[in-house]
Amino acid sequence: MAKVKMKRHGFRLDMTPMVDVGFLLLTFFMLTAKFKPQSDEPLTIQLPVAQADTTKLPDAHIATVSVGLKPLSDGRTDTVITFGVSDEKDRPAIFKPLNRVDDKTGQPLTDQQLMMKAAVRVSKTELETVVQQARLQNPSMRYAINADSAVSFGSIDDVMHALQKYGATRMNLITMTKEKS
Amino acid sequence: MAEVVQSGGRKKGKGKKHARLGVRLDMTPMVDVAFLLLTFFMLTTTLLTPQVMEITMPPDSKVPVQIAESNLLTLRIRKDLTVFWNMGSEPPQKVAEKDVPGILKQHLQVNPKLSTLIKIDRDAKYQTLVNMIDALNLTQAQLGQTEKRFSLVAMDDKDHELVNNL
Repeated sequence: MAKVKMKRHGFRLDMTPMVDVGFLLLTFFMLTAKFKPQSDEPLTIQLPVAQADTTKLPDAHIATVSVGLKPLSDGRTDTVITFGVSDEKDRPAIFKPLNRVDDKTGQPLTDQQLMMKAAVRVSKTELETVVQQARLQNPSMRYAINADSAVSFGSIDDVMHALQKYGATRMNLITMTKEKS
Repeated sequence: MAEVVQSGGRKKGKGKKHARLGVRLDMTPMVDVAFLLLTFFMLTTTLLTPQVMEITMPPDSKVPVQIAESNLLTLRIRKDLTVFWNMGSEPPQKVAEKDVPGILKQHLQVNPKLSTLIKIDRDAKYQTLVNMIDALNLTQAQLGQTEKRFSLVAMDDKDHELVNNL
């Protein structure tokens, strides 16, 4: 039987459109991506579930009070409150009165360092200080409460009172839709 | 792609000679890196913005608000997450959490001016509170009512006394 001689045809594939689309997608994802900001106390928050909410949280001018539970070594849990500010430029003025120091050097944190802090862990009294500062710094700031569903109402009540005290009467409770749970 | 065109000399004026020098650039590494980054950003992005439940509180909780007894529905949530409801100053009645929307609907339908007061124990779970507000929002949406009339307070000693033995 005669051997069939296979002739190899080198072929060129025009990859330009693919590369175009690739770069387009790359640009899109790079521009829309938001990295999780560094926080003092990274909290894992199991959001409460709600059905009726359709409002979305805006990106800018948001102060977020997070209330989370942190497990302690003896099995109990500790309620942790952090205060986060979305606008970098507002952070130094708001966080300055807390007099936080650098862990390594012991020096007070500079404005530059404060600007990098997305959220700071605060005590109940410190929360009032930062809320007051935030109200002074940007009166149009909106306040969101990002609390774990298992947190007791008492802690939420404290946060609400701190906000109410300085006239931040409109609060946004961050929730999750039922389908995603 | 980069390309260099070299123009020939015109000295002799006899036919122009264009020698084209094409520069080929190997784009493979660039495309590799681009796709790597693309994959990374695609996998790490979440296009999800959290949704919120908006509530408005009065500026100063010390100023009393007068309200007609017939316009007030009170929901009390005990430490063990049992829900009690009552109209005006009627005695509180126990209700299962899933039946709350039904009660709200029944009363809001009759009286659209009804205000709901949620009294919740400081030790009760936040999820229960969210459930109550959610039930209220849902009921109002079903009835086409937009004005939110509800208030939120922690239970005081009197409330504890009222519901503790039920």
